[in-house]
Amino acid sequence: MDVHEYLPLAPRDLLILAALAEGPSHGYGLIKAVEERSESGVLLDPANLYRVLRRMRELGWIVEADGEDASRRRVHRITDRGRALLSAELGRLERLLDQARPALADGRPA
Amino acid sequence: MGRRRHPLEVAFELGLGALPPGPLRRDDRREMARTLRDQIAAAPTAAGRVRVAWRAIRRLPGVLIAEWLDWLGITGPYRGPSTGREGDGMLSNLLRNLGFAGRALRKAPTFTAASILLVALGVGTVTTAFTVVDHVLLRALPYPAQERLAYLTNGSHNGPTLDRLDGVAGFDLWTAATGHSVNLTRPDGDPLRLRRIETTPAFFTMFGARPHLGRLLVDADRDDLGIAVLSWPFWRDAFGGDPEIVGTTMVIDGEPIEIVGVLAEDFVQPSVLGDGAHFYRPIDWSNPGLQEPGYHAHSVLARLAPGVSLEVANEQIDRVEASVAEAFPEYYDDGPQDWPLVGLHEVMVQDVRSGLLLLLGAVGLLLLVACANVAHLFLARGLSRGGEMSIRRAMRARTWSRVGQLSAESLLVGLLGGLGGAALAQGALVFFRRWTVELPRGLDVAVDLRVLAVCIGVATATAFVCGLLPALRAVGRDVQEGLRGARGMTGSRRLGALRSGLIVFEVAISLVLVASAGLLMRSFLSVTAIDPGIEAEDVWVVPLNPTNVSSPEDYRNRMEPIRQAFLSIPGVTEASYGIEGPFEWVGGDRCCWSNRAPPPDEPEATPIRVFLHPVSEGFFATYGTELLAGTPWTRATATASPTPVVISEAMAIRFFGSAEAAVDREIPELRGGVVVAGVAEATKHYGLDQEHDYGVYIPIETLPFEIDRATFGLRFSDVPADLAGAIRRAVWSEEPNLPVTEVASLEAWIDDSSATRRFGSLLLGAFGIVALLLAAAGLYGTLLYAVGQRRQELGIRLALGAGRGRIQNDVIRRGVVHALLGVGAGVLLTLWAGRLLEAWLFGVTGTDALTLAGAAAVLFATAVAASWLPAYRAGRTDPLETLKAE
Repeated sequence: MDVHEYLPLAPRDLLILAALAEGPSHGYGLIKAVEERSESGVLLDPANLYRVLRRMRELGWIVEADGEDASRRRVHRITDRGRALLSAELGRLERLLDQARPALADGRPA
Repeated sequence: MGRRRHPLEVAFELGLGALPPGPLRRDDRREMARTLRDQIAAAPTAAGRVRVAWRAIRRLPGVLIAEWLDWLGITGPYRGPSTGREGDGMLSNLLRNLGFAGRALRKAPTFTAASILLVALGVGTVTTAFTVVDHVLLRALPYPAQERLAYLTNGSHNGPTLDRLDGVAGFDLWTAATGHSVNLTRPDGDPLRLRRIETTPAFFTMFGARPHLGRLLVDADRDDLGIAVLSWPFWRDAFGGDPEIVGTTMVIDGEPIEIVGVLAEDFVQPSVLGDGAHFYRPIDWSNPGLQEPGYHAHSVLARLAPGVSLEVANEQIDRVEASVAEAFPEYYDDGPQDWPLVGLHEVMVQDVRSGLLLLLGAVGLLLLVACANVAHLFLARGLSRGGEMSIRRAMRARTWSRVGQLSAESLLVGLLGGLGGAALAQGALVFFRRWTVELPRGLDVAVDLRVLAVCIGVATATAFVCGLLPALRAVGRDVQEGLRGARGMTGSRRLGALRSGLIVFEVAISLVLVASAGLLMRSFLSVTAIDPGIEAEDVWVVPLNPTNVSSPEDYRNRMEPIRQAFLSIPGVTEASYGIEGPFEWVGGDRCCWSNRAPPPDEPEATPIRVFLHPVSEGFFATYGTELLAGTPWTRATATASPTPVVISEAMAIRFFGSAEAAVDREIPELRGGVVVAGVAEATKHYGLDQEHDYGVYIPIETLPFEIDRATFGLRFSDVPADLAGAIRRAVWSEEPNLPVTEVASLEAWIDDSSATRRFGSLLLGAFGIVALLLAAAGLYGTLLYAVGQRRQELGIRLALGAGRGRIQNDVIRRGVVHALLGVGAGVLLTLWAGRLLEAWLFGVTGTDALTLAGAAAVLFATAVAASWLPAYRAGRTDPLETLKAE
């Protein structure tokens, strides 16, 4: 798979992958993690979240972790492919930032 | 789990129910619900809980639409890597357009949800009505060679008739059937009342019946009355589906009967023979009554030979009628009777056809109103997208590709609405069956593939037509105008005229529905306002079916003790019985004992049909029927000669001029001579909406035949707590094996007699209200949109000093003009439609001015109310804001 076909990622997808990269999580955990990270810039609702999660599963970015957690909620885990995609996107963004940042750098404290 | 769920959480979960089917989505649905539950549980404040839940609900319609589009394969669930293959053929064009359309609709969830809902509503009701019509009126009966089955109408028939029919050329099969109530005695439990049909073996051949167990009746069974073939439901319910049942016996009316077979589950008894029988038995040909030409008991059914038309068959029947009349001149003194042979299907549906077509018509009107609203939505959307379309046009996108895209959107809405409508129809039919609306073939109604195809076809055509017109409009707009902004006046003015036309149309159609509902409602009210000539309060009725009645004396000797037992129940002040009770049979004709007699002062006149009611002592006191003149007979005087009778007021007036003049007069031509002892006030026996009949109450002591029915009436001064128990104990003290299946209040019987009217007016009323709301929504939306379009102009006028009241009046005036035009058109339509309704009306004409004025007022008031909010908003326009916005 050429991960670059899926770039750039939507901010929502990026944040979900980033949250899962820190460890498996269930739906509510993901909503909380994404909202904390984005300081409420990206708001998720349950109906959309599971649509997105299903799409990611079908694309092979994430899988359902074996078994369920104590409260019997389904838990998702990031795959190697998902991790590769995440790092490709982060790399792309970093390069982009590196190219853009000098514009503001001169004359101002960074 | 113990926590009580938040109301919004419940709403969210209900909404999730509309996700497409599939295990994957079922799993997701559960997880979605759980996640919201977690979110709500974690929210610290009540306001926070509402916020979280509301956000989930608000986003739901968009997700639902997207999921359905995915599920139908119209859009992919995600944008995958491009395949690089884009065909140019028709099909791929269509698919591409559908894909575009899917994405466009997904971006406008409110518009999409509203249009789909409207289409689903309209199509769902039409499909429900059409399914019922299809099953009841159009579909073939489930019998072999059903188109050749026919029914001998005009009453029931007897042995001599049957003997003559059997040899007539042009027929394949003849059968006769008659229903009886019998009692099953069980070693464990109360006696059960059963319905037995006596028939011939040809009956089973004719209706394609197969045995589930054992065998059906065969020719060799002709004289064997000790056998029975059970119906499948009776076998399942009463015998627990015992596979070893064949060869065992059951006790019917004290006689052991051998069970020789059980019918297959799919056998449907033709509804002309009444409710499904519990079991079938050969006809008792040894009964001498059967050979009596005056004994009418059997329904007669025939199967024509292939290629024989009903006309030819009827000529044969005419010959039989003539030969019967010739053989028994004493019974046919005014010549042969006419028994037209009618197709079985026709007989079964003739009573409900007009009602069902009315329903279909009303539902069709509702669909039209819903359609008009979908057109509104597409128009509004077409306007707001004028800019987008103009850009595409300027970029030289071919006209047809743009029309293609817009019509793909309406196709999609139609498709989704059709699916929704099918689901609605399915639900409505479950409701229909649950509430057993009485239809001759009603029990097996269900949506099937054929109807589903019609349903989706109607939906797609509906949305396509509703969407295409606005689409062409939007595309036809001048490019320049579109690019200049949405304020171009000429185009919107033309669209405005189209929208106005739609409003006028909606108001007119709604008026037809509301006025029709009003007419039916007034008919219902005038029927229920009629005095039945009976004081029904505190009267309870108990129909009984005594069996093995050997003679009229036997009947009386067994019923009178039951009457006495009833009189000894504490709280009973009067008790009486007759062979039928008032309002026990509704509609007349199929129930009654009638004779003909000319009024004594005009012996040459055509004999008039009068209804005979054999009743016991105490009848008038029980039912609270007043005697206008004379006195009723007593048990002591009942058997005098000539027989003393009480006649109804209507009959007294027709026969003798007045109630007073009738007393002590004789009617020699009636039953060998009777004398009028009293005249009862006008009573209704067969329904409140029936004519006052010419009733003759004769003493039960002079009943000339035995009968297996007796209906008791009991008047209470004080109804005991255990009413049914007290009544049952009283009956069983005299007849321990007689089932007591019904104890009803007479008021309930009277109410039931107008149940069809109540149902009809409620149904049309519901349709009328929905149409009214839709029309109001259409008017409201149109005016609001127009106000939005004219904000700039209004702002300038306000800035120049125009009063707010004046501006509001302008908007309201626009609404009022629409309403007036619609009401005018609607009144004309109703005057025409009301004539079609007249068969269902009672005490009011189809062109009743008061009802029409009332309906017009309701429509008008609704229209003014719907105009008020847009007008208020127009008046609140801030001149500075609007001018700045330019």
